[in-house]
Amino acid sequence: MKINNLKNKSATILYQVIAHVILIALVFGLFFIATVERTNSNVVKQQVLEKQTALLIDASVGGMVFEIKRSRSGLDSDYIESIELKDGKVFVHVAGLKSGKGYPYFTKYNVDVKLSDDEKSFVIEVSEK
Amino acid sequence: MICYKNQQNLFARPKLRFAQSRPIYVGFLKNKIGAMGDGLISVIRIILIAFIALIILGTSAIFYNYYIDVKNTEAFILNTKLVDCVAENGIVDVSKFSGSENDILGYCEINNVDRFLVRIKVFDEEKNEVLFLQQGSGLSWLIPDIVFNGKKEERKGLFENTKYASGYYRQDYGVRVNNNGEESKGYLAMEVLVKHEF
Repeated sequence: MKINNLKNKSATILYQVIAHVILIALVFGLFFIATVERTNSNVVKQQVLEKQTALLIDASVGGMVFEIKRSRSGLDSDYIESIELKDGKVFVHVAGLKSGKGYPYFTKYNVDVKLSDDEKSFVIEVSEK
Repeated sequence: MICYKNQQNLFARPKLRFAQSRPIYVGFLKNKIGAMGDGLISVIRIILIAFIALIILGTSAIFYNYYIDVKNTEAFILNTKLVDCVAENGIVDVSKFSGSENDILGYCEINNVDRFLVRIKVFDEEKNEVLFLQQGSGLSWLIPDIVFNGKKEERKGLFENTKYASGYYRQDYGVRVNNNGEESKGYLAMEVLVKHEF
């Protein structure tokens, strides 16, 4: 009788520990996913696109034309809504996230951004003044 | 405690007649209360763990600022652009720069000059300095002179590995120097410092 009681008690404790471990793992998992989502967020994509575009403009010489696709994966999550050049800065608007600060470029050439005819990419033209 | 025969023990636990007559029922109640207590402790424990997880991961998520540093690349691009401007076709004509010694970026039509510090020295064959161009003078040059010590490899100290660290590029180029009509072999030493964009 006593042995049975002891066995039951240890089994209950084991179940409790397993349940706790699962719950703790779930809680940490959820928060970890939330953190990963944040690091892969549109803010990072926007930063990458703005800096890449600014560097491309800086490194270009007059007469160069380059194209930036609106979406690489075809999903809405990385869809570029607009690229603007204002006050010597590049502003990229990614999937509902408006650019705040932009990134400065220093080229001496004229730079012009327009949407391609099929509206699937942005065309950036660098021309002599 | 000592109790005498006719004396009532005031501190003795009262006898539970009900419990005595129904020991199984009381045992069940005790178990139930114990189980409830265990459950409550478990819930409190999980809430506590969730709270700790929220603090650790939530705080890191809020303050985690992914920053891509392209300032060194900008310094390199600006360096190449300025070389093309100062040494057109590989020849530095010293007379061209009279009056533009402190406005070399303006001379080369570079925009957004506030972030850039440029220092260009041109030497002739005998290693005499024949031209000195600089923009962004004053205290700003303390950063490359003290922190970088003029060498890219010695970037140490102030703001190192932070988004406030400046981008730096230094390069020497072999050029031909035209000094008052006399052309000779020489070299051009260029340092470019790009400050943060904030």
